[in-house]
Amino acid sequence: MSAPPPDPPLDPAFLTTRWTQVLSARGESPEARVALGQLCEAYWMPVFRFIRRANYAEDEARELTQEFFAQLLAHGGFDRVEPGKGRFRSYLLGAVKHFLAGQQDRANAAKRGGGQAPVSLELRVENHTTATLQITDPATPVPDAFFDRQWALNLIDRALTALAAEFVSAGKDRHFETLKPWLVGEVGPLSQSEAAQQLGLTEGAVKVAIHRLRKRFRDLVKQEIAGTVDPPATVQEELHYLLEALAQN
Amino acid sequence: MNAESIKSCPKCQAPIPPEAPQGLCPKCLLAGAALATEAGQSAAGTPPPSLETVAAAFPQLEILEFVGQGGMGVVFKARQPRLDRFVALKLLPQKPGADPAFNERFNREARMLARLSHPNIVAVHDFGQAGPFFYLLMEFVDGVNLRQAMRAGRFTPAQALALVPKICDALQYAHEEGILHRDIKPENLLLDTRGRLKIADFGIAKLLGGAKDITLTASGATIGTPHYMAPEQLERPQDVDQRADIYSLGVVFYEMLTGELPIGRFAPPSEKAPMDPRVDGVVLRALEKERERRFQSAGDVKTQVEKITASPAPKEPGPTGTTNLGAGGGPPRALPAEAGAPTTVNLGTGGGPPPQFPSQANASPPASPRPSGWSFAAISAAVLVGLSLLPLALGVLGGGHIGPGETAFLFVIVGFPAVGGTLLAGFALRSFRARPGETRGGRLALCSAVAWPLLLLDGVLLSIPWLFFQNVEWQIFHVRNGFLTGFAAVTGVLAILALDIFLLRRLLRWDSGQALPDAVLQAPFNRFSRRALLFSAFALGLLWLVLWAGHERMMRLDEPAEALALAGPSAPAGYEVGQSGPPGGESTQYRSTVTIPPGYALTVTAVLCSNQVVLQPGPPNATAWMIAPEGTPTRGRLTWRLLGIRTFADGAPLQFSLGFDGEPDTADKSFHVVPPEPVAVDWVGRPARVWPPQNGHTKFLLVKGSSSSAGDEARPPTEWAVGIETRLDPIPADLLRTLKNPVNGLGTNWLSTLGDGSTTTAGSTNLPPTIAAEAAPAIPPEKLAEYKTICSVIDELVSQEGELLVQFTPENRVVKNVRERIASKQKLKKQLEEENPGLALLKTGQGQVREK
Repeated sequence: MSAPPPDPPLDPAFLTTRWTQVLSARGESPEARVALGQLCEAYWMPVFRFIRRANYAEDEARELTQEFFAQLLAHGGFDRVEPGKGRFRSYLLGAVKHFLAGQQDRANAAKRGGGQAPVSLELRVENHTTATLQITDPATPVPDAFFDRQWALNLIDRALTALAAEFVSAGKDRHFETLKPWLVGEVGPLSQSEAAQQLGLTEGAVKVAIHRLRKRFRDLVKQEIAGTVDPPATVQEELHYLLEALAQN
Repeated sequence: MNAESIKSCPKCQAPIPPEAPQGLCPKCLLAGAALATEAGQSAAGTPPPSLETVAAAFPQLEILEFVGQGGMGVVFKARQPRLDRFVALKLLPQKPGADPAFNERFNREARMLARLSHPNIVAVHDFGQAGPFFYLLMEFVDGVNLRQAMRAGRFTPAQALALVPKICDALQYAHEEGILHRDIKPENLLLDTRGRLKIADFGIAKLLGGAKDITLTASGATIGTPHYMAPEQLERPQDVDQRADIYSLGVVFYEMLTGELPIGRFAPPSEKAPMDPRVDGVVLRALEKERERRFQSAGDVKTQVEKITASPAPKEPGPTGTTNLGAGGGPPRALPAEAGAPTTVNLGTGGGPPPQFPSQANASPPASPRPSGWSFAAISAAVLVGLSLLPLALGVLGGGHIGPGETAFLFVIVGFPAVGGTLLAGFALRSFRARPGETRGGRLALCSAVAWPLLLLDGVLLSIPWLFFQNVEWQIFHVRNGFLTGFAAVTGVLAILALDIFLLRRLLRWDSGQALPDAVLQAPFNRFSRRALLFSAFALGLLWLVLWAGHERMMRLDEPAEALALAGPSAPAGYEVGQSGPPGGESTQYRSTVTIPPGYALTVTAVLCSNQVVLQPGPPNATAWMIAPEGTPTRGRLTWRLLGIRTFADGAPLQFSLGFDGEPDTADKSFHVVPPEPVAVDWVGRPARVWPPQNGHTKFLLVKGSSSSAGDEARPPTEWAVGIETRLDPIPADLLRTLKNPVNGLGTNWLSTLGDGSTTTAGSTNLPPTIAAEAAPAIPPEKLAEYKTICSVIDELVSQEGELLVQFTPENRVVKNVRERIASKQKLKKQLEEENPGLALLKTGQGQVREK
């Protein structure tokens, strides 16, 4: 296959991505603040998980996350970000690490003095349960890769949620549910003809629908990424980076 | 909740982490997102097949490289080792087996394309199906297409003018082979390294378009790039002819000359670049929106272009407005290099010559005012045709006076030429269209013009023997000399046919001296005149057949036919119970309809519970009563015999409906239809007198015998017949004389003797057609008054009722008492009945004897 053509230009509305806004205004302007607020809201999950992974109980992690974001929004510390090279992800990671380090110091200080909540042996991560107990060595810092991975998962989640919402609002939630296995590739639990039957479409129409679904998903993912990087050209880079992050598991 | 089983991703087989959004493997999701969008490929169509795949399907070729891909398929350069030549292998987008109609079409069209053999057309060496492909093996053209050539450098007008005739050559050749290109555009015009032009993808548009002439390929690109398509090709793609290709050629020509497409209001080429202004005329005419105004053939375009290149250019009003005077000043800029007379003086042939070219004699008329669809000539012709059918219509409406023979005769004389003329004109039109601009079909038009006069002439000629036959009908038909008539008819027709052929030939020869081109003269019996002659021969043959058959039918009636038993002892078919009775009476009527074939008589045997039988002869309104005489037993077997009803002259059968008044004891009814007495033929005549029976053996019958008024009670028949059944032997001379000389002189008389009319019998003795009349004793004077009275009574009844059938028994005892009963006409029927059990008095009207 020949080299892929360059990414199509992004939606003009996103040419000034949120992150770009933030950066260009150095977080000062009201729009920048709003943008930053949106970004933080969007990427709360990886932060939370990261903090969680750093050996805090869930409730505590939650509180800490809130505190972190509050601090972030109050004084962003954007001077640390190199212009033109900033990605929100890296920025956030750095900020979280910094924050946690500060917390650790306090915790250590508290350890020597204050009570801590016992760590429950049965960990609950959101709505999932893990049978295994994951107790991380507090001495080992949470790898960056973990954050990146969580970031990627969050990104995908947001894109999928947006995609699902689009379909639902178009009244095609069944389409989405039936066809979403094809987002990963050709192999699905259903054959295309079965899907066609289920949805009452012709096989050709299913093909087209799958194609459109994939394309839309692609676009949403790219949009999402674009919101977090500065120059649009680095979307592809970021995408590949995240892919690797996922691959490392 | 317990842990759910960890699913694995179907694609990468890795376990799906529990936090994976939507339960999908995030790696694969993101990987999918990272792929670049392949435009259109996942929706429809496939990437071009790999060289290996193609090579596998074509082991006899060396597949060298992928050349290009378009809406029409993919093209590979290949080599035929055995022939040591390069070929272009075109693979069509269709998959074999997907559409059997396409298979068939492909074979058919590809075969046609392969037949094209022209130096300026890319040759098709082979075609077919190999593996998963439909392929065309074509000549490989090592060069560029016109588009690339135009990009490389603008064409000079000279170069364009040199190329166009070659394109025209190829187009003309292909059009004559009946193949249109439909997609002439620069990409399809190839120039090889030696400068030769070849047109590629001939007819592919039609091949791929199919029966519906879809203009979209599988990937949605339109066949026939819209800019190059003629207006009619865009609007009605199924109705294009060679002129659409000429339009496309015009667009290409324009583009070559100016570098632009002729869109909207475009300037003539000579205004955009310096060139011979006569070129404008050619280009603009090729680009006419209405195809009737375009060049009608590629050959015409070529002729015009060659004219330009052959003769030196006149003073050119180019964009610079300079004129060219003087010798030796170098050639005028726009003169094509081949002109060969660059140094001649070009004093103005006037100002810029008009852009229109005078058309050659064969070309279609330029810019003539559009003929309106409703020409006076057409209208008057239509009116004439209608008028010519008028006699036929009138005849039919006028009451069926026309027998089948006459009808057919009229129709052939009148209607056939109309139909035939239409057909011939249609053929002529088709041949006009097939060779637009040439004069064809002239002979056909001529033949069609003379078809009707010729047929009229034939009709007249045929009528002469016909009338002759009519007048000598008696002798001929009586002696049944069918052979003679047949022979005479055949020779007559052949003679007339020969006359027709002779006349036609003379006419054609005369006409060819008038206005037709020489080419037509060379084949005086070309297929058009042959067709016309065949047509007249057929028409004549049909005419003769019809007349002969009509006569045949009449002759056949002389032969006895077999008895037709309509039903057995049980009720006949069609028997139905009705509740209507004669007016003023309440009764149950049983009706049934019996169709009596021509020449047959009806015998009714019935068991009646009352003494009334209704017989409805002829059309339904006519009612006739058949009344049993008083004293007739109302139960038991009664026979009513209807004798000698000869059908109407045109052969229409009489219909009878038989009803019985009375109670439904109808256990025993039968109808027997018996053939008439063998010599019964039509007769007409009005009874003048009734002769008394002699020894009770005479029956007198008054029968309506003409078909002109078929028993319509509003109109009494205009003609009457009288038939006499008699056992008299000899028949009184005056009786015979009267009977033999009926009033209007047509028809013969029917005489026979019958058996006892009171019993059902089909038997009778045959009488020879002619009866020797011998004088019989005269009527006794004292009886004469009686008889005269009877006559007058009957006359009166006849005149009033319109139809009267009276049957007297052999004994004819009515006569005896007529004097007594004459006083009261209302009782006449009773009186008549009294004497005779077998007496039947039938009359029309409402079932009563009507008084004057």
